[in-house]
Amino acid sequence: MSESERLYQIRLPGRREPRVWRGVAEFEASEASPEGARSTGEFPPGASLPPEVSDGVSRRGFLQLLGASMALAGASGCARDRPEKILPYTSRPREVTPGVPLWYATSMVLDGYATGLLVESHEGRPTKIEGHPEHPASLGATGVYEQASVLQLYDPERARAVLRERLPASWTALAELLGRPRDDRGAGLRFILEPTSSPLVLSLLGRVRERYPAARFCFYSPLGPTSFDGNAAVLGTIEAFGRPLQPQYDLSRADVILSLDADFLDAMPFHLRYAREFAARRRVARPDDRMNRLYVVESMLSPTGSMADHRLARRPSEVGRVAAAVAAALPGMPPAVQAVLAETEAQAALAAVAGGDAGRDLARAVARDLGRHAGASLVIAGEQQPAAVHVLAYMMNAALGNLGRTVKLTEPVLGQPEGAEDLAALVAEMRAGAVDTLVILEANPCYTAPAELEFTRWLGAVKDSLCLSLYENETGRRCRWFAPAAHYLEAWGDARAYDGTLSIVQPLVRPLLGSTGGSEGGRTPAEVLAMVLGDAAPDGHALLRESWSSDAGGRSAGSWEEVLGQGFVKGSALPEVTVALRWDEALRHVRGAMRRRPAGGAGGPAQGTAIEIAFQRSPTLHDGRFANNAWLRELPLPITKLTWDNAAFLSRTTARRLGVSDEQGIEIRRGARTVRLPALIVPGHADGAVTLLLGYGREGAERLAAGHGVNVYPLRTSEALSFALDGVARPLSKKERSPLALTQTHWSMHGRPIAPTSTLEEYRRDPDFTAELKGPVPSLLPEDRYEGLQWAMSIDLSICTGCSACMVACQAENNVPVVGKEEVRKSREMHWLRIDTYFTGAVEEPGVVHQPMLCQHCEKAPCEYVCPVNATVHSPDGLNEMVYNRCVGTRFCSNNCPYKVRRFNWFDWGEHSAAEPNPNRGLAELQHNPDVTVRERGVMEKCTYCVQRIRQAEMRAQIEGRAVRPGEVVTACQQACPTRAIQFDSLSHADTEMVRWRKEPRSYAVLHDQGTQPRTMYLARINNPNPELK
Amino acid sequence: MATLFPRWSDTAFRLALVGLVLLGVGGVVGLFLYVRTPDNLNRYFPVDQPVPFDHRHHVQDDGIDCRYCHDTVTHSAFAGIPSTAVCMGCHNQVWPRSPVLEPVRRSYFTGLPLPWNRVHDLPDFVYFNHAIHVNKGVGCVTCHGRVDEMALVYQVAPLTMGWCLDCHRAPEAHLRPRTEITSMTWQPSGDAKALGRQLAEEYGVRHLTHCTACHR
Repeated sequence: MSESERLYQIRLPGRREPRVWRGVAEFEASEASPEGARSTGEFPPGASLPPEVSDGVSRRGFLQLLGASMALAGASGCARDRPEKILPYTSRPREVTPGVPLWYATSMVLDGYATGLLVESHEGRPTKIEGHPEHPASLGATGVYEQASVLQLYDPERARAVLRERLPASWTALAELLGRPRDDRGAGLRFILEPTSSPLVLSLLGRVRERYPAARFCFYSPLGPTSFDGNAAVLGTIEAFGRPLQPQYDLSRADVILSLDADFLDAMPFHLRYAREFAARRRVARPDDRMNRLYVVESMLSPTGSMADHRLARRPSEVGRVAAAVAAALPGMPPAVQAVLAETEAQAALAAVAGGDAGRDLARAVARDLGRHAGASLVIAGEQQPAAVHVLAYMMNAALGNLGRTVKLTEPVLGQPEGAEDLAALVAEMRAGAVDTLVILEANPCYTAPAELEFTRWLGAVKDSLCLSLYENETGRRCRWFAPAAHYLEAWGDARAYDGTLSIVQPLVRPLLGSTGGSEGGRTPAEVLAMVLGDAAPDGHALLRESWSSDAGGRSAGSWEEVLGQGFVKGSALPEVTVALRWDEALRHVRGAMRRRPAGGAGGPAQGTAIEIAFQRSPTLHDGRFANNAWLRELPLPITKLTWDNAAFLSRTTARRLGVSDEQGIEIRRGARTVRLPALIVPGHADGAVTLLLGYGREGAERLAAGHGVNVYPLRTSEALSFALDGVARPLSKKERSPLALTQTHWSMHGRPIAPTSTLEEYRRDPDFTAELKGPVPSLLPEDRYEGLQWAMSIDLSICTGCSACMVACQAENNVPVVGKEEVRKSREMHWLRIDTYFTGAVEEPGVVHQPMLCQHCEKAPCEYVCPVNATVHSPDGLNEMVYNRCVGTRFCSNNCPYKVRRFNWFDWGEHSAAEPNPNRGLAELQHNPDVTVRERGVMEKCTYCVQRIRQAEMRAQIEGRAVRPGEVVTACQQACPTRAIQFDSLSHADTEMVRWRKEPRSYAVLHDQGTQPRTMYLARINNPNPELK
Repeated sequence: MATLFPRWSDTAFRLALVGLVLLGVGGVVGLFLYVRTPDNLNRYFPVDQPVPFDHRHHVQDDGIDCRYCHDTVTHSAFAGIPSTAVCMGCHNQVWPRSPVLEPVRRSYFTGLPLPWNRVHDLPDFVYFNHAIHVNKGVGCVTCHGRVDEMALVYQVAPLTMGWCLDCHRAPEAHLRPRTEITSMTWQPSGDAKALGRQLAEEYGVRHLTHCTACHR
């Protein structure tokens, strides 16, 4: 250990520090030699190179430009600036005050379920999405998709016009085609829709059925399990309870939770609410508080898995066996069931699957722990798992008495009207030539349909095909007709939240990309359905009003204006259904499924080149629908911190077995189909499996989406939508490498206690384990003069799931530009807020801590002392201010910042971005927050604690002659956070969470020994491992 | 041997050196002076407008209060340029056929806004807020001058950061009762300093000189 490291190393008294590392490369280097960790390099390659863009400037060209600009510099001074124009309204709407934003309640629908939102509008321009605090599916929080959806509204690549055989046509012509009376009772008429809960769409479908009784509807979602048909959770209820129901979990009452491949904190419908409830039971304010315990069985480390107290890395196909093992040992299970379960081969094969005695011990310990908390425990099965696993979960919940307590069953929210059929049946009809008109509404089956259906090929057999979509995507290009869809911020509609709450979709703008006055531009699926019913010029608003007034739920809701203002109908959630589990049928189903399970599961993929393939939706691009969203493309994936591309995620053991390293190409084969993509080793990944993210490698008209990542849909077939056991992996030559843009492993940690963790038991024994990481530090620097409110932030690492919603919220609020993959590789990403993920322990079973890292607003800020032009200074209310117009770009401040949170504008990103087309200019500028400066080239920037919101709140309070109230200022990251891990307020507001949190024993300051006295305090991560499992 | 240079060339050379230095210094000083001139600061240049709106007539002759047209000044960052409908509120009765008002009528009936030319143009990184200034007792005339005497509006104040800070450091001398905000002629009666201190106390006027007060 070098002298400087010894100096930095802070030992926490009485504790053995687990080894902490930030990436597999660093872990391996530190394994090889103690000095090894340093040799991975502090800076990424290229970080010190001069700026370079794709159309780089040569030296000669530079001199020419230099000369020209010298010559023209004088000329430009001769003219008086053209005056700026002010364009007032001709007649100002009564509710609009220029300069004061308005908020509208609306909902975003994803996977068929609505999430209530409040959208900020500046003079008719939607700029920022926030969660609706009263909506049950949001509770004021948002996920990454909601936050980034506003950029999609302004995507210049969105489709603009109706096309007929790729030539411009009109809505009138299309309406005529669709509305023409058919004489076949609709026998040749087929629809493909996304799964929907919308009363409006469902009532229109009913009317279409009345007009054309032979017409059929296919509800298709590429993520399979979320559609009604393939929804394993609903199928499970049919087996377990005898009829389709929908499970809804109450995590606020769960002491012990077992997740069977369920990413309920980030990926499931209603996840915002689950995350909030989970966090409320996770936070320990005092050492003697109680805390829930989470067991997770999964293959790829997910945000939920990173929160686990015990995590078992298992291939997706093995999860069911682990579930069976737990169920067999579960106290409270009817003895007969237990005996049968114990008999099944699942139990016999468990030795191989769960890792011998250790695995069985774990399963038994989990069962005992669940049993001890009967009625206050919860078993959740993931949507990627087959129905049998869901049935097992229901059986366990029933045995534990959780039904009606932590598990609520309701009628399914997604509609399943008469005349529904699945995609395979539809394609069979297309092959038979029985379909003459196919209307595809907002789905993209040419890209996402299971490969063996050959949807694209049989689409050609349809005479008239129509695709309604936001983009001229893969399907849109192959259909005879194409029509642009309206973005949800331009559309009228409705939908139900996961709990059934009726929610309104209300437009904030007219369709943006139409020619004039809304006669052209995007339309909603409801409007197209109305065209099929013969309405030549449907009006979305009128349709909704009509449906609303005829619907019982709508009638009882009060006046239309009240509902619009609220955005949803209070108390319209579906009632709970009380139903008893049918043990015999459930058991029979589980036994049958266990027998059917392919034998390859146990030992196969662990050997040779055989590999199990897990298909997952991308945490940023969903099924590919957000592939053209620059914010989401550049948002690092949770855990891997990969941006722009996808990769084959593997465990270290599997990578060694196959002989691949990071970024090296790997070929994954299933039958005759192959894909090639770079490998990336992920800590904690299950051995013998590879995780492939869907949604990349698009080939539509979305230029930003094309050329990044690899499309893995071709490997996906109907019988293997979630995982496939028959994969074969072959490494490509070492030379075939694809560079990946990772935002992690760029810097090493030098062994400092940046993210300390403890267990609940140890915390109770030694609550002050972070005592050395806070408190006054002697300083030679002069005392600062602070007055008024004192802004500060507290972040609880115990409940940060790493979901990254805060990052997108910050980007949207603060006009943070997108730089493109090449620049990310040089660590030039501009995110003001990043989430550092630290791993502890072994690569195979890592502990994970997520740490949102942003400007710490140090009271003794090192950046301030080195700025030669006073461009970064301190305000009397404790903010570290960044003054763009003073900054000359020396970057001394960034060099001197121990937290590395300052970002430098290497270019005017509005002009140059490595991402083409430039996502920072053009229409996207309409999204900009007018209260935040758009930074120029050569200027340093960083988190401001959302100073624009602070100043506005101050002025509002001053005008009203009062003090700023506690909780009045909310930063963008705080507002988005599903778990409320980020708290912000003034130190003088003693009765706020923010202040209470920092008085907790486990609070600490990052790099406290540097004497920076940061205003941002963190709360150490506390885990709650089962004492039986040491 | 004949000298290459005559004797006076020494003098000329020295004078040239002095001249060069003076030129350099003068240039720098000149630039420093120039940036302060009204020409550079755009002061006192009446700005042409699509409609020759005369504040003299509307304020003095008609006695219309500033806030009748600039009605968001008390609660928004922008004082607000009136919408065409506000103009037409009177001018559908008064001078309804005047050719001067043709652009106003065209705007009203076509729905296309009148493109007014901005007179007071702050840099984009400055976030000036009218509402807070008006509510703290800074009158219109304090920054905008005697608009009631302007045919075409021009900028009076230099709008430099130094000028802003002069007031932000010692606002007391520039305060008036809120009732007199729009008055163009109000003068403090009695002890001006005492009144300023009293108003500052009453309105809770702060001395904000940190950067993010204006730059965000």
